Amino acid sequence: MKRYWRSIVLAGFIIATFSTYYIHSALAMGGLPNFVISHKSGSEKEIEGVKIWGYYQGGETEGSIMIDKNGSEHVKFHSYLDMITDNHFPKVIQQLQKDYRGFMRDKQEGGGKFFEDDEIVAYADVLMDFHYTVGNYSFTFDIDILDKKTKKQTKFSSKVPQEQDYQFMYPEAVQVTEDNIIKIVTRNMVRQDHEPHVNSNSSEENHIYTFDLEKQSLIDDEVVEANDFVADIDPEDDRYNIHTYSVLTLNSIGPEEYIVFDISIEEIEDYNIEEIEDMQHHMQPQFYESYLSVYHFPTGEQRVIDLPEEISEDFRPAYFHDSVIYFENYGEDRYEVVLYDFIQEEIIGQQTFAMEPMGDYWPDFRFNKDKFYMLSPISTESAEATLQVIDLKTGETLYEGVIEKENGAIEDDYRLELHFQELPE
Amino acid sequence: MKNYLKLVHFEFNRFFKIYISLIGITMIVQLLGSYVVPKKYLDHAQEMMVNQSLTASQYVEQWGGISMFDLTQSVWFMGPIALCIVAIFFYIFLIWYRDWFGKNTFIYRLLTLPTNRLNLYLSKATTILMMTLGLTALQLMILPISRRIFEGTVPADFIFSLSLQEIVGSFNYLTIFFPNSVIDFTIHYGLGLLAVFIIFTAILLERSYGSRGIILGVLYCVCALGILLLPVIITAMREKLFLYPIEYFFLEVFLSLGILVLSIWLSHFLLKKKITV
Repeated sequence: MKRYWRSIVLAGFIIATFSTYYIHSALAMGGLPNFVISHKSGSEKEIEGVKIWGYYQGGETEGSIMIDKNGSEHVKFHSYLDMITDNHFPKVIQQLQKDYRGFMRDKQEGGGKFFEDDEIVAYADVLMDFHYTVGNYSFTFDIDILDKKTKKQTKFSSKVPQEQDYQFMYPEAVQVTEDNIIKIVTRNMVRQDHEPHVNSNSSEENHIYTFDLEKQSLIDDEVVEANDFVADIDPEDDRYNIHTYSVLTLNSIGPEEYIVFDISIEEIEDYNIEEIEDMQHHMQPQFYESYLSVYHFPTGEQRVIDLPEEISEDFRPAYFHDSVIYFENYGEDRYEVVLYDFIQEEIIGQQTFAMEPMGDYWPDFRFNKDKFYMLSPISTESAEATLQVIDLKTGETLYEGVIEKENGAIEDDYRLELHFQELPE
Repeated sequence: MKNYLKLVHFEFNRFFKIYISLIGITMIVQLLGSYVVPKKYLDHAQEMMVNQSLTASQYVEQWGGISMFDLTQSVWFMGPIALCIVAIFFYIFLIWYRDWFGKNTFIYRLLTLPTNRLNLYLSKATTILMMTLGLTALQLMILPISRRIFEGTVPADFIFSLSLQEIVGSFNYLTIFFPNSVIDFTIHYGLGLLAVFIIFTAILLERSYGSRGIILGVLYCVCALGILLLPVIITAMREKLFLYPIEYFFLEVFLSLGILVLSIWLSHFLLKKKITV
């Protein structure tokens, strides 16, 4: 044994040093206090599914924690395995991956769009291949449908009609109607034949492509209705930029009868084609006008929405669901939400939420179909952080709680930065 | 097993003098740097404070404070680490070639030992692993001492204090040697050991087949790397992720173990049947 002392000392040194380091690391990371959401008013059912991420700094300790109605948990350093198993897809997509593992392969890039109802799961994407000889992309629809009951998968592809007219396109939504019709909503950037004089020039269109699932063929290509002014603009006219996109639905990938589009036009006011080369940097586009257009999936009908005067141009459409559009407006010290039903043609809810900053930090807030969630950005030993759940239509506070150390312990200085990680759908 | 351990000790002894020198250089340079780097900062701070009539906090506001990052990112720290990496890398080759090209053709004696020839291969790999782990453990030991010297050289007003875990755990080269978790530790050092096995197999191919062996050795390394990267290459070509991330992980683990077993088997075969002295 004496002869081997060098190897024994080296092996012992390695084991002792690494063990000490990793044990010390584990102990240091375990030193974060526990936090709870203390109930002040309302029903605790309202915070089921609410997860709050916090970054704690206090004394010699700091680290990340996750808080929910059951308490808090220390978020430790991510190992490779944590990074691999952490799924950053929305919960609804994670559920699809769990329930239909085979179908969901080859669909993990996040570019395509999903649809799900009681009978089917549908997926649609636009594949783009760049052709160097023509200097443009070719576009192909890639559609995959899974029948939940029979487990039968139907997959087909179809060239995009008039693809040479477009510079870029991607899917924004997919809906399958009862009569085996799939409609894919895309946003297309129109290709211009000449080099635009203004670098920021763009002309966009939203299209609705209709496919017959039984025949596996394209049967219609509709462009979202323009108002008269937009319809008269020549795509080659670079005095105007047209931006259009579909407003996000609060229904995630479920069935929607309607879809709403936000179309805005910008104008280059001081457009002067003779001075273009010198003056390009002065030709900043200015907002000209915007409007909303609604499309009805089952019938294909579409119309421009006439908004009431109370919904000024300061309000922007954040989401829609069913026939209700949720408009939002950020004021200096407030956040306003207006719910407008475009079928009833009336405002069905309007709330203003006071926003008080804590230093440079503003409250975190989100909303879903009928509730508004607000969270203070910071908690310290002298400043309370509150969590509120408010009914969007009535303004009633459904729940109020305070984020604080467990057992109300008041100790040394600390600071906890907070924001929402997850909310109920 | 006994013969294997004796061979490990023997291989370690052969490199011991150079190893002690590497330890000495690392300790001296890094501990010296733990004084020099903050001293240089302090000299500059004192000069500026006198010239511009600044207080310490005003200086820090204008010029920034100092932390252990400034030391670990300096050549005083990274230089010895780089030297050790290069020394170990060259010894991965020398540990074999010295047996052929030393004063005596020592490999002849090794090959005639009454032990399984695979023990030669495994003992050399174990020695490389132990020496690497020894140097990284040394670095872990030096860091808190460096921090003491560092914080003793500069007044606290100028220091942005970091814990040992923060010094190591932030996004810099030290996390390669001291990963945050045991799983990551196994992955980092496991991949390192796999690379050593692949290089050893390439060396034995060269020693077995002469000039053709060089080509075979290089081809073996390229093919091993290609097999490990195959899932990534196929995914990039298809532009679609067919497997889920956890499946990719297990596939890579499976491929790595496969390459490991193949390297050991091939090396054993070459040592038994093909090696020439």
